[in-house]
Amino acid sequence: MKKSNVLFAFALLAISFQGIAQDVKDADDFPEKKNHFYVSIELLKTIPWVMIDNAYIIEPQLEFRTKGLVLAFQYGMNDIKNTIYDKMEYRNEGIYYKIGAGVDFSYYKNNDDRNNLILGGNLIFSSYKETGIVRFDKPYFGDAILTQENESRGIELYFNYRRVFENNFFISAKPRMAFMMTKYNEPFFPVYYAAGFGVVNILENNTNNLNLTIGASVKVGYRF
Amino acid sequence: MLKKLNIFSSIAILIAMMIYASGCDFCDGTSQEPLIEIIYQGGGAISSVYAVKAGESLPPITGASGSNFNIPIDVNETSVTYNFETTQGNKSMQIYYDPITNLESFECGFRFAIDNLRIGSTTFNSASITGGGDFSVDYQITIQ
Repeated sequence: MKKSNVLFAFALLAISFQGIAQDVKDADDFPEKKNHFYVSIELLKTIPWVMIDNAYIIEPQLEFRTKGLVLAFQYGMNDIKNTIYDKMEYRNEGIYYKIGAGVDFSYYKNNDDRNNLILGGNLIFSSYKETGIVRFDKPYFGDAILTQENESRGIELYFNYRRVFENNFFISAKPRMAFMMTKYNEPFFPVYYAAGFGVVNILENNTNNLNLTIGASVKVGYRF
Repeated sequence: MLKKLNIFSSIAILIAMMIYASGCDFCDGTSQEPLIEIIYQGGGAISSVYAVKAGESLPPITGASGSNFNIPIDVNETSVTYNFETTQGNKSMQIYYDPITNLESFECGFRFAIDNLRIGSTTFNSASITGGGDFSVDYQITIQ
């Protein structure tokens, strides 16, 4: 999986260089930039999770660019089954909303509007339920079912590079950093995955976890 | 001399790896329901014990007979009713408690216990609680 990610990143980089090379034209050649809607869906998380235990993370996003301002709305939903805890069957069902704005710096340059560089931020509203089943050795009453629910709020800072092709399809790479501003409700075990924030117990600590997460997403979409 | 040193160092590494691999002392790959000890001081003996869950009787608890034995606790509930078949007739006892779950480590998993054990309604002449504390069979209920 890691190898394919690396190859994918190189391919993206190559496409980007090709795009930049094509953009070196005279300023007079470029038409005035228009407002656009951008609809996209995440690739990196969606495909691997679907292949593992029928779990999924789906994150469609809608953006609107007017002048240099980018308004973004993202909805996400997940159902993850995981073996992170050796002795517990873990499941995480959640949804989240991200709403925010950014600045498209490439808008102010003379180009053909096919390479966008956006710096922005989002508010994150997230709700998720974690269920853990612990199997007992010869139980009398049955196995232990541990359930904990969370409502989390936070902020996110991101940088987005988007390459738009001739047919208006695009691919984008988005490194991001999120900070959770609310406390975890975790009476039984540390929260492992927070919808919209990502894995918050990457160090596999059995007493507490992180409020800061970093990650990246690769999206494909269409520009209207 | 060098050969002996090699053997000693190999044994030391092996022991260190075994200690590391064992992780925690209870980590044998299984989790257990918490237990409480029953001490019966009434006349005769108890022949069997079974619990009632959601209005239905569960099968008799294995090994729960005589005058001293352990009974399991339901960690998904905060109350359980047990029925006791004794030589002097059928008795019942309801208990209340707070389940405790502790994640020892990602590898070892969870340990379960109870706290704040209380006696609810009972048809025994008396029931008293002693003990309580950590993750072992250290709550006793003495019934008469």
